[in-house]
Amino acid sequence: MNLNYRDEDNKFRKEIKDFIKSNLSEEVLKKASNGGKYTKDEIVNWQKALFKKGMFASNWPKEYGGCDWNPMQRYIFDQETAFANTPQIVPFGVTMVGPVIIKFGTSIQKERYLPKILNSDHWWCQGYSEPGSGSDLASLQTKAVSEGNNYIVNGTKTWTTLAQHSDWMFCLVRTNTKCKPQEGISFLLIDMNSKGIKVEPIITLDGSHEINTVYLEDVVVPKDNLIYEENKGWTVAKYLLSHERTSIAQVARSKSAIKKLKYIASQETYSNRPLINNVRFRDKLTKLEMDMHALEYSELRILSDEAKGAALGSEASFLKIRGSELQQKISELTLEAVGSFGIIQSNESNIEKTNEYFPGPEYANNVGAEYLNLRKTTIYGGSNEIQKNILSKMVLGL
Amino acid sequence: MNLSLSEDQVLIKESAEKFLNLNYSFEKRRSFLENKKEAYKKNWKNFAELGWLGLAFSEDVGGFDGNINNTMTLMESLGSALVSEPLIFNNLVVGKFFEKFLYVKGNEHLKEIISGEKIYSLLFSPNQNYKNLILDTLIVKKENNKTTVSGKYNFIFGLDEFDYLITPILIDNKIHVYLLKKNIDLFDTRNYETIDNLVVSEVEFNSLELKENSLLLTINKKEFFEKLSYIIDYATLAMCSQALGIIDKMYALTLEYCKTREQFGKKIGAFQVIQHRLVDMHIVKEEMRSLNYMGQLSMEEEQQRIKSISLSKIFLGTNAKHMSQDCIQLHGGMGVAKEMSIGHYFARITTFCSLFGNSDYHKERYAIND
Ligand SMILES: Cc1cc2nc3c(=O)[nH]c(=O)nc-3n(C[C@H](O)[C@H](O)[C@H](O)COP(=O)(O)OP(=O)(O)OC[C@H]3O[C@@H](n4cnc5c(N)ncnc54)[C@H](O)[C@@H]3O)c2cc1C
Repeated sequence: MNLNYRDEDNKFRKEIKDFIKSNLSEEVLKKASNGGKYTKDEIVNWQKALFKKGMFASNWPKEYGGCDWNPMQRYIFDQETAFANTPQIVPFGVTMVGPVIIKFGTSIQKERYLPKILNSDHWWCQGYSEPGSGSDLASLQTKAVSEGNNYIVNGTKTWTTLAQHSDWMFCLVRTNTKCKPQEGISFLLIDMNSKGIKVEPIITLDGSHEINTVYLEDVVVPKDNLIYEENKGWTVAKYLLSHERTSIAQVARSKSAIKKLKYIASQETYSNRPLINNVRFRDKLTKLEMDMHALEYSELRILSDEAKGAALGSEASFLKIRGSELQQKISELTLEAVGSFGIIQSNESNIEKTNEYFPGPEYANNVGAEYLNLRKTTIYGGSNEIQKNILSKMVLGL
Repeated sequence: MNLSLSEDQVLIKESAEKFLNLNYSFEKRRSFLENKKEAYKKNWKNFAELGWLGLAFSEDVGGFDGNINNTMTLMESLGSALVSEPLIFNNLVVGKFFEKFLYVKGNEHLKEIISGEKIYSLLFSPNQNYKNLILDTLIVKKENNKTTVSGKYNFIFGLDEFDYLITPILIDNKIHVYLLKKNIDLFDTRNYETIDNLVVSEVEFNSLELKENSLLLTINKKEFFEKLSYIIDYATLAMCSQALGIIDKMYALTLEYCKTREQFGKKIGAFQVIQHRLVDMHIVKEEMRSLNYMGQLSMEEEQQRIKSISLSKIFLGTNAKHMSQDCIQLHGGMGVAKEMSIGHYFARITTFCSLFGNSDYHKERYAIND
């Protein structure tokens, strides 16, 4: 990849910019830039519009309805949407389970699921983690017992992101207990409207409802919903995880967050001068920018190798570690920048809505909540400790 | 030299823990947060009966000799229980205010503070860089023999249930301190909840008349700020002591979690990276305690006081903050769930980092005074 923009890149950039302008009002974008969260409808409408325009599923081949962008196009898209604060594409359908179905699904499965992922009619969630199985995913206990043409599923999934909105869940279940744990796992697609499913919210530190516990009691799942072969779920899960980890690096969003931080630091004052001119603060900001560019160019190098055909391996772990740390560090410094307003509860993201209105500047409204919320980034998607274990084994050979 | 806990301290610690375990458990606290007003009244009465409101003050105003070590021991226990009642503001700050500025034997205000009969608060803003510390932006007008004041202030603590507001105002280059009465001197207060369920208020004066008979004292600026600086350092140390209680608790919870949570067929505490992190935490909490002792021993000599209190606050905003993040991390998903207590401790540490000057503010203050 060559980072000198060619005419066609600039044209592409303009297309994206125009598209954002004609689909999202300034008001909506402003709210999001101040940390406001998009509703389910807003997200779905955005995704639908992207799909209509042929800008959705950048990671899918054309024959499946994707747009199959090259790395430069993806880079530009990510940047423009991040800087504009558009809704983020919900990864569970298009980024995660979509490629899995493309790679492992039967033609009937492809026909059944892919179009609804593309047009965002189906909202997906990821049912991997369980109360007793987080880092050690292979120890999962949710059981699927074969009964004629169906599986009967019993168990508990937890930390399930946005399950409250979901129509479908891709789920790892145990189909064999008499073998090595990894060899007895299957990958099932479960209709969230099935009888026996109960979704209970888990409220996070910032007071928001993002994650859930999903109880499955005698849920009947047709065997047609099995992806790949019975007891080969681990192979499927591993393929999927590498996708999760690259999208998790969030470089463009971090870049945009740094831009916002700089704006805040130019508005706030310290000893009657703009905070951004305070050396102590500025040094921390510069360090963040260094971290950000180191991550950005690492990601670009990896994408470029990938475009040349290299298989994406453990590099994803590297991006996940640094990307998640960077998100946290930016939110930490932003919290410092907004001063004590940062510790006042947001009247936006907190579902309890204790504060009727927020007394500080608009840009400070969600900053404390964001700092609390982003502790998750080093935990989810395989914790950073687990990523380091992977790197030391796979890359360092230790 | 004696840097171990005194007999008094051991007693205070034990009785405070006993009381708080019973009456201020995580579950009880949850119900307090649902009805703050009622909880405040009930708890404040208890605190007074336990003698906690007199701990920092001398006997001749009804206190218990004002030993700083004892006071900070209590603060630590209040931290571990995540007590939300603003003892620092409605007791220590206002009590020390009368002690420093208007000390007379048997001071009536101090008596009321110690008995818990009346709630006092001081109008000052201990925000992250002390912008508008005592509302320097207020507009004072003198017309027809009347003095009025207007303006708006943020980050005032201790206004949940106050009866009196001690209000320092700069007039003609001198500080005039007024004692405003709730419902008599009318001004607006708006309360907000912080991320860790404390109450912080915004105060707004609209041409409030400052009456001669509510004037407590007049004092020149330099002397005022010297004395106020002592009070603020005292309060900062009290907050750092609460933070110490929190950090100790977070350490204990995390250690316990790593000893019980199993993954890969082992306790996660069996993994060496985790062990090293727990050891680092252990060291951090001990260092934090050491700096806290240093602060307690340095209160009475100005330069020493300024430097050592700043060090405690810098430590809180750097090493202790980092440790609090690590505690969440080692809890995995449990760390971000609000139903667990660990996140509530984390939120309070986050808030404390941003009050009474953040670590950058104190780095600068240390350097200037070194
Ligand atoms: C906000 C959020 C959203 C999530 N969304 C989803 C979702 O949509 N679907 C889903 O399936 N899951 C989801 N998860 C779950 C997530 O993947 C798990 O939390 C994660 O895998 C860690 O598992 P755990 O929480 O059980 O922690 P544990 O595995 O118990 O780990 C606790 C601590 O021990 C460390 N540790 C564990 N083993 C080792 C080791 N061998 N060496 C060193 N350190 C170790 C961990 O790094 C962690 O710090 C989400 C989690 C969060 C916080």
